[in-house]
Amino acid sequence: MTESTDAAVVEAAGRGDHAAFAQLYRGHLALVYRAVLFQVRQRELAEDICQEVFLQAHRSLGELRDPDRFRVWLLRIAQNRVRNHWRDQARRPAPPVDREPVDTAVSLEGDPRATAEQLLLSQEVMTAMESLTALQRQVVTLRFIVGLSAAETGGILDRSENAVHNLQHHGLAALRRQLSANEQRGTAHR
Amino acid sequence: MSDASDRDFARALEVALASDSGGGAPASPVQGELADLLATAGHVRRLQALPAPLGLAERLAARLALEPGGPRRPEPSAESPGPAPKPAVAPPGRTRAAVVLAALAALAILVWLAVREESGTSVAPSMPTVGATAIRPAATAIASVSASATHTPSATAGAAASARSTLGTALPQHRAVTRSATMTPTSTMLPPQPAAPDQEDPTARATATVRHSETPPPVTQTAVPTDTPVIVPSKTDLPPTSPPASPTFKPTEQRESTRTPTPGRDVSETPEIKPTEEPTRVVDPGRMPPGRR
Repeated sequence: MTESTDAAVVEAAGRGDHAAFAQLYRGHLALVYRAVLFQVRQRELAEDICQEVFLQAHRSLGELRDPDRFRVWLLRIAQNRVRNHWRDQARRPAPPVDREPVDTAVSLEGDPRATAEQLLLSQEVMTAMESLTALQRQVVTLRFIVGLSAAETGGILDRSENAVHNLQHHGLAALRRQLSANEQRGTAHR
Repeated sequence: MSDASDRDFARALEVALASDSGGGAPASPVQGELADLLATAGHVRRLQALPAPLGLAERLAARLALEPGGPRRPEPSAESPGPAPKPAVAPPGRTRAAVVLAALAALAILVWLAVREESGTSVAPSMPTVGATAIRPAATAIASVSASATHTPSATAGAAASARSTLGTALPQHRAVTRSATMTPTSTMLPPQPAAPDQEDPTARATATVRHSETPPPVTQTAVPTDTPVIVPSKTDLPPTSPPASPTFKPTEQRESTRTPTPGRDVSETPEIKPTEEPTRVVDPGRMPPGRR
């Protein structure tokens, strides 16, 4: 879904067009799901948060002034929801990280083979991301898994572009170290 | 690595990432750590193809069906989605604070009234009017403050009930003080013999009747000295035959009559105690009936 298409569809959805909102939902669900999943690292929780994000978007869509910024606006809602989740989690004991973020390949849309590869990769990256700080994890997720620019990422996280550059540098470095360590550990096991 | 070189490296990485994400090869070949980080970023970028789980759309559609209405209309300065909307029900801590505040305000009003009456700044017949006119708007204000703080009918009712219960517990004390101030002047002013019915002060009589029918604490009757210098001047300007009960007295009667009587006790059967009987008992306890000593 292109940005220009988005603007028209967003305006229609804001006027209460359910078909337009369904189109927005289909075009952005995977994006929001990835943004949430690699931060909370629990599949069911990520799905719940995704639902809340779209419910909130449905309620507040009329308040969006610039339809061109719908994607960033939606991801900002997602980020706020994730933050709320962390705030709640801080008052309770943290649950264990989901080692299998997606149960089976058939629970995902798309080609089963490609999906299986994605599952393995997502599990590998998610495990490695445990070594990152929360902020580094947010930046790496938004920049490389969601695909936002540094400016968009900074806008969502309320950080400057330079701060995003630094965070992504240190985040990628930590991720690389952890991926290498995990790979070596896996080789040793085999 | 120093901060400056760190920043430079981060900027170089961003440039390399930007050219890398464009699809083509990097403008200049990168080596070392930069190349490693680019490879890591490319590895992670493959996750952009991760699809959403099946069934999520159906669940969201079911939840959206429960939503009342569609998108809200634009509001001024509401660009950012912000946190979730506040629930209609006020948080329990806020409700509790409003109730406590209401109770404290009611208590403060009653204490102020009691102190004011005890100091003799108002004469006895006007006291009920002062109390009625002061307490009722305060209770109304408290209830409205609670209502505005909680925005829930149940919370408002709770605050009003709390205020009523506070008034109910605090009023007997207030009443005891009022009685002492109301009846003692009569005792010093009226002759020891019972006055003729047409010379009784109907206002004072009504006060004594209504109040005494609720709680008759004998301690108050015996504790008040008959020649209290503060009280005598306050009653000297009372005419021996006061006019019938003034309209300003009605609020007190309404207030008293709306209160629920003590269970097991019939208010209507409470014997009416004339003010003229009180000074006799106060002045000379030996003349009191044996059962009242």
